[in-house]
Amino acid sequence: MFENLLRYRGGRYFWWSAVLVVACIGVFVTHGRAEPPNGGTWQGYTLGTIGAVLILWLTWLGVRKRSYRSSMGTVRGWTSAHVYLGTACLIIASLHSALQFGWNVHTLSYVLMCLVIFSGFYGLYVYINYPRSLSDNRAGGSRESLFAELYELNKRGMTLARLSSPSVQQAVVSSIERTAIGGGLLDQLLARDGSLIALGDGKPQPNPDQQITIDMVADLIPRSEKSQEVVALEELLSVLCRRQTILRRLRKDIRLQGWLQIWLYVHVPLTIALLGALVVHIITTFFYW
Amino acid sequence: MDILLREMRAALDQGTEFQDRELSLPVVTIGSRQDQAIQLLGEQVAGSHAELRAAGGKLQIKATRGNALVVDGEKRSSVELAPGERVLIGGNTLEAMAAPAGFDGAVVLVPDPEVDRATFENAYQTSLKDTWLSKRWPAWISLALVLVFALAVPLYLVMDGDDATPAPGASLLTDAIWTSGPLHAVHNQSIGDDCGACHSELLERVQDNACTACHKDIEDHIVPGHAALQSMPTERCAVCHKEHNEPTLLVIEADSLCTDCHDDGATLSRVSPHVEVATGFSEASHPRFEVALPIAQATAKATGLVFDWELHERPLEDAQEQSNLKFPHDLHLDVGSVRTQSGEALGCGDCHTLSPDREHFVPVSMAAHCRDCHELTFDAGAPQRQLPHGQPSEAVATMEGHFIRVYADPSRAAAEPTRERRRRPGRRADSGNSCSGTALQCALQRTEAEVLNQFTRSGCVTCHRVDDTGTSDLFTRFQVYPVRLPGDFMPTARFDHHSHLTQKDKDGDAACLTCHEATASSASTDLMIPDIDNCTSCHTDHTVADSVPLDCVDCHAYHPDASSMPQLFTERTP
Repeated sequence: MFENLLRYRGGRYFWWSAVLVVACIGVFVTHGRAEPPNGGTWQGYTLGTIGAVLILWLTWLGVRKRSYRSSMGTVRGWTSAHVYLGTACLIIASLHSALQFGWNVHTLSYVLMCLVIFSGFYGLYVYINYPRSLSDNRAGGSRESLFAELYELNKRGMTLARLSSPSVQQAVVSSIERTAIGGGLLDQLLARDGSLIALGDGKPQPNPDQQITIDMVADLIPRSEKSQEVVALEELLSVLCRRQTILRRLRKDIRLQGWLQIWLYVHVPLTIALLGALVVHIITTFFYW
Repeated sequence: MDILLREMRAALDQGTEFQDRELSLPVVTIGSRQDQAIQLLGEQVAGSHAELRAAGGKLQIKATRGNALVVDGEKRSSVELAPGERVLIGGNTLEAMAAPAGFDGAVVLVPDPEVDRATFENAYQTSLKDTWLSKRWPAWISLALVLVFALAVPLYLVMDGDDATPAPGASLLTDAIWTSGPLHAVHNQSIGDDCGACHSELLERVQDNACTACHKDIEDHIVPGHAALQSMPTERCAVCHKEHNEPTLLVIEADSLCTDCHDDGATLSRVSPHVEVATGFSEASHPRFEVALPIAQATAKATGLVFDWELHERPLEDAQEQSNLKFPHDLHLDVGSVRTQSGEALGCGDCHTLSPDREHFVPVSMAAHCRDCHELTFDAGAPQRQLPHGQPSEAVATMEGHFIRVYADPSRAAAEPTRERRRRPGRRADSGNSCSGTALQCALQRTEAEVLNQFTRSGCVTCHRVDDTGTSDLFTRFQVYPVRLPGDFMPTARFDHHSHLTQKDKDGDAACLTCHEATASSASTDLMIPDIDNCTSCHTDHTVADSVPLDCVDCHAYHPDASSMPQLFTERTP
């Protein structure tokens, strides 16, 4: 679906944007020799108005995508237009400014706009590239199905552990209970495993990738004397190993989803700041014109 | 602090069973995170939800900021549990129990029965939304920062009207951050960040008084007093002089500066009838050249001729200079006729010296440029005696005094004139050499002969136009027409002679002669000012490729120098 974003209706909005940009360049080159190109010529005011209207419309996507009852085009169409017209906005605003920058509110608007657009470029990149990795990682399932399987494995592991010695039981139960999935911002983005395990003394210690529990159970199998106990431990081991796989997939899923969404935490607040800066830019232009 | 934790859970068969754990910790942490001493799962359990302490047989549980404990359906931030009392955290129940011997407290945990397959995921923070990250408050904060520091604070300072110079660095909070670009360096030095120096009113465009406060002596486009123009043709100074641009361009150089008005024949004919339409620089788009010449009508008064000089504009093609000087350029440039002392031909630079303004020339004068060759001797017997130049009466007096002295000399032989050193062919030698009267009579006779010679045959009259009034008084009989050499033939235009002294394959006199046909000029009435086609052979406006482009302002000034051309414009105002 995400690749379709760019090829929506044969790249209709690419052509819309290309025509708009060419038209704006056409306006820009009519700057004669009377004055260096800048935002204060009639060409500058024209380009600035187009840019401001574009920014307002682009921001409106945030409203439109929440308005499920709207019949004004599809969200996918809007998003495709958002991407292309947002890129066009970068060029149009650059023409408007004629690349004259300084320590002032006008450049502030431009910088904020660039940050919004470039964070959008990152967003476009991950929207195009990450869904495949996500779906490969989920192996055709969903995050819900991974959690459902983990829940069952936890239950099965706890039950099997209770058939073993108290030390195995304590290790398995505490490692299951103290399994970390996701967590804070960096835990999610770096897929950090903060899982713990409480052994004999009850003091929790790190249990990365559940390896301590798995090694412990695997060690016990050759030393067991009763065949019934061996069967139970082997089943427990297979449950723990399956758990390890599921946990890895879940952490990767959370990591990818995190990177898929993190840019919005830059894109959206800076868009609001940009709207403010745009208002200041326009007002102050006419304060002192 | 030792706490006994009893966890209840479903048994393998039906019913429940429990497992006891001993927690020896100063504080028992409760939350969903794996590092908590008591780990509770559930949608409403925070990562670090509460802390538990035992004191006086009771359990004190205090929720961390933003989290709640529920006792009998009521939300509390802290509770104290006596044995048998219970508290809900999420769906998990904690019930205080009488502490066994050796323990400070005991608690029974009944895990949330709702945590099942469907809600299991919610026990973990698996989305960025679950972290401290937010879109909402950073948006509001950054919006507020922008509005406050970029708009409200500077606006307050402007409205406050405090003219005190802001401290260095404080400009970050002043209206200086509203600037749309740097000022011209000179303006920046004198005005700096004081926006109010020009922008006196909010929402009002810069008015002319902001400019004229410093630029007091600037001339209007048309000389003041022009009846048809009550104000400047342009609306405001800032229409043409735009600040805050990069690169700084305070003076518009493009032709539109002029042609926006000067292409409109109807308006021009109403305002300035003598100004023709101009839309560029070519023979078709630019008016024909005109020259401003000083012209005088000589009127006879009792004291002689009176010359009233006036500057007149004349079309170049039929203009004739009225300098009253006789000077054939062709003769002077002909090496066969005139040579310098070293035997070389005269050059342009021997008489014409460029002024420091690179446009005009130092005025030619008798003393500096002519006298080396044209001596003012009048008595071949006394070649050291010369007539004073420019003073006809004094010249007559000089001659009279000289000859009286000569004829009064006892050794009269010395007074006999020798043959003229340079007698013209076919002309008799001076006949005044035979005098039989008194010394005074002879001296006066000789004087009259020489005065006639000077003013009518070979002296002053060689270069000057002389009027013989016919009076008997020798001192006032001859009147020399005053010489008036124009200093500036085109006062409304400027031309850099210096940069034209080097041309392709030409320099020196050859460069001069490209435009001024001096070798073909035999009369001083010839103007030798080139017409527009001479200019357009190299220069045109920007519409033509492969030429050296000229803007209007390369030759014309918008604000004229009133001293150079008042007469031209004031006299022809409607």
